[in-house]
Amino acid sequence: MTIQPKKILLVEDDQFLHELLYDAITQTIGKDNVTVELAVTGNQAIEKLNDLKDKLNLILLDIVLPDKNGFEILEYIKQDQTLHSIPVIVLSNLGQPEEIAKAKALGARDFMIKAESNTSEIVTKARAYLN
Amino acid sequence: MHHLLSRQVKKIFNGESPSSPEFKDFLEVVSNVYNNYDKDHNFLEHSFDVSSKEFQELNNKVLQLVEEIKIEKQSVEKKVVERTAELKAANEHLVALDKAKTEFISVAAHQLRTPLTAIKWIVQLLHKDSEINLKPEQAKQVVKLDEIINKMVKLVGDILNVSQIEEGRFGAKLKEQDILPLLQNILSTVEINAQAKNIKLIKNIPPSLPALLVDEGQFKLALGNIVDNAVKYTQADGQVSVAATTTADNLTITVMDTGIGILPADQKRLFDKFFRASNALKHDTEGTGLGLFIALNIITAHNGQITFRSELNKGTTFIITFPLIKDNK
Repeated sequence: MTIQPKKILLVEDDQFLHELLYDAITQTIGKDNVTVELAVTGNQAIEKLNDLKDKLNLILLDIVLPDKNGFEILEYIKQDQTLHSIPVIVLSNLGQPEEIAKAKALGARDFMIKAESNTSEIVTKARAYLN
Repeated sequence: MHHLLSRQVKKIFNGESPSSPEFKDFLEVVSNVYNNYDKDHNFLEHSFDVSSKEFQELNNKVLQLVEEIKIEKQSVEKKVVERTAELKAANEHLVALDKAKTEFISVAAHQLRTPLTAIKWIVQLLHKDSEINLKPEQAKQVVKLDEIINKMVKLVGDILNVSQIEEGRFGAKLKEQDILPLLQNILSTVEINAQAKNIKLIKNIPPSLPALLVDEGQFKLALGNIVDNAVKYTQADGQVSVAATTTADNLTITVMDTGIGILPADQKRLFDKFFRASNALKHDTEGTGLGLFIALNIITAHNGQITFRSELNKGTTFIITFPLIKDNK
């Protein structure tokens, strides 16, 4: 019996950053163990969330995005009966106390400031939620 | 003889007044009294007349003065209203400019963070691969690059924090926290820098400390800045000691170094934004002068206090006090 790879939705509009994160996640956890879906705008994130729904194991969410921002996406997730139980780690370059508090109040489990985090720290945290 | 006296004498004596020299002398004396009375009376009347005139003139002058003052007052009041409106408008303009400046800094700093993140992550990848794919010299440069990027990240973070403080949005989210792991975390981060300069880091931290109401991120930032400074401004082979003590009401953290100290003239400006002590500038050109400004704001938001004493070329001691949670007393 084969174990289904875990599925992560990575919402990140910066191409460099999503490529680097994608590589870090798939190389560290292994392509057999994880698949990473990508959304680069807020609307695309909503579409992916609706397509993938309960197949998702983790959401890595940026806040400053085209169309809809991360806070709006968090609200959407919170209101959806299937999505609201999926852990969300916010990966943003915002990160002032009020922004962190707002994200957590909207259901984010963790808030990591990208510029102050290593990819390895992000992958370690993601892995902890996947397990 | 006074005309009134003359009439009275005629009336009394029926035209036959005594002719003795004594009586004539007597009449002369009485006549002089009458004349003097008349003179005094006339003088008094004249005086009243003059006073009344002068009083009238004076009164007119006073009334005129009052009127002038009234006009002047109205003019001054009008000027004050106009000037106040001008100052208010100028102040509103300055507040709006300051707000725009702070917002610009905030946006610019956020925007800077994205490319910095990409550079930081790429450098980390290089760093990871350096043992295999890079020459030792190149690997050293990657380490240096990593340090530079981290300094830039810290600088951008500091600028963002200052802009948030100035916007009044740097609110501390205080919750009950075990302080010991936070202190240990700060010290383990600083220890790397201390070891690199062969500075002895002495930790006098009791095995257990009371919990405090803190914002974890801000507490680490404030204390981190102070301990980091102690290491930064202490020469190689020096000493930095960090101690924590509790009293019935407070937890006190003391950070003492054997560093360059602070000039007395610089001490009163130490917590000013962007201020750097003159000897600190010579010692380390890369500081921003924001660390202590941020630390003071955070400690104040935690209802704490920060004081220091310093002696040039001997060292500086910072004393940071936080109130205990009442239940812990």
